[in-house]
Amino acid sequence: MNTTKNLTMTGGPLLSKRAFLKGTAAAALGLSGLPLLARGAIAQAAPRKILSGCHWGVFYGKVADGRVTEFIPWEGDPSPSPQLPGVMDSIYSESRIRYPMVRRAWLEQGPGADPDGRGSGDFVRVSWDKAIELVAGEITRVRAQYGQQAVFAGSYGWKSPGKLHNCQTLLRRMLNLTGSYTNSSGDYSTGAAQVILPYVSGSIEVYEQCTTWKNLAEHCELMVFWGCNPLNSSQISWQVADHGAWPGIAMMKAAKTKVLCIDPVRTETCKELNGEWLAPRPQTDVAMMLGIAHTLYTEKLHNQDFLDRYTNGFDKFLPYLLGKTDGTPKSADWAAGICGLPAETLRDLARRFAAKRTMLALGYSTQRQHHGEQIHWMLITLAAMLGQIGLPGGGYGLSYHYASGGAPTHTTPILKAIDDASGQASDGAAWLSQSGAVSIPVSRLVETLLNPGKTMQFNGHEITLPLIKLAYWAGGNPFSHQQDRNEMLRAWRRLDTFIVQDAQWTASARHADIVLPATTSYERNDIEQVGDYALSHIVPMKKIVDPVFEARSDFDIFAAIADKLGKGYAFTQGLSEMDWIRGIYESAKIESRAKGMEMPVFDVFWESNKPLEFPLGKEQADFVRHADFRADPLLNALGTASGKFELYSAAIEKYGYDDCPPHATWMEPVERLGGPTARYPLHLAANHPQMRLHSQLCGTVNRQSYAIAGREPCWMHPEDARARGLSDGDVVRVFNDRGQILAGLKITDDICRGVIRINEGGWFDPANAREIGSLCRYGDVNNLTTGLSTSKLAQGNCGHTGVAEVERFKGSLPPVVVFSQPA
Amino acid sequence: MSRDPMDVVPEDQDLVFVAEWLAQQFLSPPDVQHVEAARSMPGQIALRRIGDRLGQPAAADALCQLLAAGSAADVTLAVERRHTALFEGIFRQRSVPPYASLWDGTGRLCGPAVDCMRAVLRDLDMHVQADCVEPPDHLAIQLAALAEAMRQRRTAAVTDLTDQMRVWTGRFAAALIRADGVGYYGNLARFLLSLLDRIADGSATVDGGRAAAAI
Repeated sequence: MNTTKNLTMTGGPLLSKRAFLKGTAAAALGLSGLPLLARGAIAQAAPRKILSGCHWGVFYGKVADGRVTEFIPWEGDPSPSPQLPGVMDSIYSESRIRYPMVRRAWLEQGPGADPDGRGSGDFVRVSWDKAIELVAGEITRVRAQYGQQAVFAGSYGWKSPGKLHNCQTLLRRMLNLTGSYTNSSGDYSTGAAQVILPYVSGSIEVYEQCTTWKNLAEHCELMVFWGCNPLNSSQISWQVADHGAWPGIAMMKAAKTKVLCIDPVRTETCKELNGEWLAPRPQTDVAMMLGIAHTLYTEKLHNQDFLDRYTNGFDKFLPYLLGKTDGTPKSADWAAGICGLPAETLRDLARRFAAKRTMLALGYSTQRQHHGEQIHWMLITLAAMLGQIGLPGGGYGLSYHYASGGAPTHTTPILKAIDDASGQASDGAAWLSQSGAVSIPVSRLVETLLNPGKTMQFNGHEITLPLIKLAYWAGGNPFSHQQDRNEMLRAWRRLDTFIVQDAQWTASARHADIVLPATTSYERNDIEQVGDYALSHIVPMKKIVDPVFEARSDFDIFAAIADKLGKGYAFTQGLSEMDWIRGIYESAKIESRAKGMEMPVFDVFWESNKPLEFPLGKEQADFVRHADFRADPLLNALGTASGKFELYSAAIEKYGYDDCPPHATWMEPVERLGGPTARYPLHLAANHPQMRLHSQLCGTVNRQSYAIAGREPCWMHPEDARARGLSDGDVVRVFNDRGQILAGLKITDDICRGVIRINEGGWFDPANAREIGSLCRYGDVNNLTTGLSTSKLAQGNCGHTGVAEVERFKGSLPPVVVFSQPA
Repeated sequence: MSRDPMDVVPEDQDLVFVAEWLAQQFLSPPDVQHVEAARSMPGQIALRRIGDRLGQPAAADALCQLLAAGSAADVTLAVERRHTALFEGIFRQRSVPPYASLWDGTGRLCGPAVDCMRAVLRDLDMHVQADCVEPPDHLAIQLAALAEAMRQRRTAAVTDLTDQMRVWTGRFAAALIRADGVGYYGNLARFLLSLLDRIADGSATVDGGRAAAAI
């Protein structure tokens, strides 16, 4: 290299180029010092293992030189989730949101500009100051122009655990302090069951403890997993997972308990326990249960004493069961014609259920269908006829598949959480709180956006659907969990503004107008309990690494918005993150003292780098659901109108809903496999995925373990594949009248004929974001499911209602782009 | 990494300047003042001289024309849009993330390349300023470190860092040229490749014939 040679520049004087660049180019190009590096080395930190917790369990983050290199399961975890590598990857995956971003059309032309362009990706990076100003200004504008209810903050989703950085509570806290908003009620998991069960058994039940696994292992003779797969969905918990289902299942295996699995899929649980697999047609569970109940009654196998003492309304249900009210006895033969199992199988089930100590374990998925309220009601009716409710090893359980229900509850204080400043008590599930100017059923936002002013029946009262112009989402992904994606796209065009606060560029973030980068919970401090049911430990959720890029904690983001709106101090109460955590812990410490325990002082707890364990009593280890009610139904009456199980509800009768009669009833769903209205030949099973939490972690390395040809897998029975000329690994187009998606075909006899399985939570990846009905390139199953509600009673979602057809994809295969992998 | 005071890198303030100027371009889009400066006669001359110095006169020409097309405000907006789409954006068909970790085969942000860069910075007795939120494997920080190593006349450091950068910048620049063609950043990608070539050539002279390319 010759850098000193003088050269002639065309048209100019003789100059030393080197001299020129050294001397004047910097000034000519406006470069005046590069603000990147500063003098002085930063010492290399020693490698550390930092304790934290997440939906997938307690773990250590291994940190070297400020960078996390591995998540190592806590040694006390009985069965660490294989999803943990994806959890770590969520910090550093390429789908991480790095900076505040605003959609260009919105920024340049104002709210409501070019709503069709949402999802097409033309974002502008803005500073945090600008982003906060825009958000605060837009909340103010919408409230002033359209009213408080026009701001929707019913933001729903699985966020991350922690008693402080609950982004959905913090969102409502900020909005309550500065005005009001439209909230949502209920959830997508158990939308139907949690509304009807208070009428039937007096509480929502679905998030309450079941008879313990230990008790089952000792007393249960026949365990029936009905749409219930603990070894999949108990990987995760709303708080920090304890994975108590694994030792529970191991106890049952050791006890050689007979297991029956009723499911369109031969599940992990079924395989582990060498269970008998029955696969009725999906969405026909109520008919199947009625057929069993009819056999119980006609063969006098039912427990009339139990029905007399512990239930109310069997006399009004019985005429329906026997066909006296509608001319159709709900016999095993009648049920067989609907559910597809032989009548003799149903009769045999009735006899076995009655002869053995039987536990009926029902999963949430069964009620995410049209008329889903009826399933849980009918199961309890069936269990009541068997008369084993409240006995060791018998009765029914509604949470065995979720968050390790059945893992025994320890003696523990309950950690309080930061509240939403609504003045309402915050105990219990935060997402069931009812603050806000108006509240709509959580799955009805699309209907609300499309029909402002319309009245809707909901659980015995009438709601006028509000006009909503701004939706603010934090810690959720409605472009995953909401059904009927294309109807949703139509509805979203009614919004002026969609704000998303998240750590990942989910499909929702891609369809937002303003995107705020939040930290993952591994970049901030928090505190949480271990096990939704077990409550076995309190775990310090310690910050593992500093926030990456420009991410800020949810607390800091909402505090900044509140401050812009003049309520900064009210929001923070002048407390820092660690002040809040210390306060939450110390409140629990006082409660624990009342229970005869002494927790260590906060600093000892925090610095211990260990979860704090709480004791397990013998009674709790042997807990039997409803045993106290059975022992004394007057003293321990249920929370129903009669204090008993209500097999007929006078309250529901009064509502007069045509889609929710006053006792458990079989009603044809809007479409089903082999049903009278089905236009497509295959049922869609939108199961919970094995390697992610709904849509969380879809944008991580975990996808490599299951994606087929880069797409979401579509399971299909070999005979169905043969009939269509399809091969394993094909990219297929799955379609119906509502939408179309690509998927990668997996041919397996672990699924029954006539059913395909495409897990919910795949990230929506439209080939043309501006076109409603565009092909989803990755495989978001909710392009295909119905947006109908379960009924006027619960207005829950029907995420398992849908039929479709499958064909080999023809033409040029579009690349998947939603995960932003480098070329 | 060697701290041998006898190591000598040919003093090449031009390349130091070009590295820092490129770092600035990749870090953030130029604001309107910078665009106006680059559109001015001295700015245009400077750009052409950079192009000549790197053996990329056509790229420099293209940059000059691009910067002169339309008002300064329009040009600023256009360049800003490209910067967002290419480096801050989220869509694979348009995004070319400027992080070594995403191109070195580890598949995620903040991979081992971050550790390597932290070691490089320590060796140079430098750190990333607190108000910069980018991880140290960002191209701009690597270029700034390279400039600093040259400024400190640290031959071994220059060689090591150039080698590290050439592991990934070849594919990065190729993707950038595919995505942006003869646009602002497509031409900067050409500058980047030439800069690293020239630095490698210079180091090779000192070190006695090290391989010229690792792309």
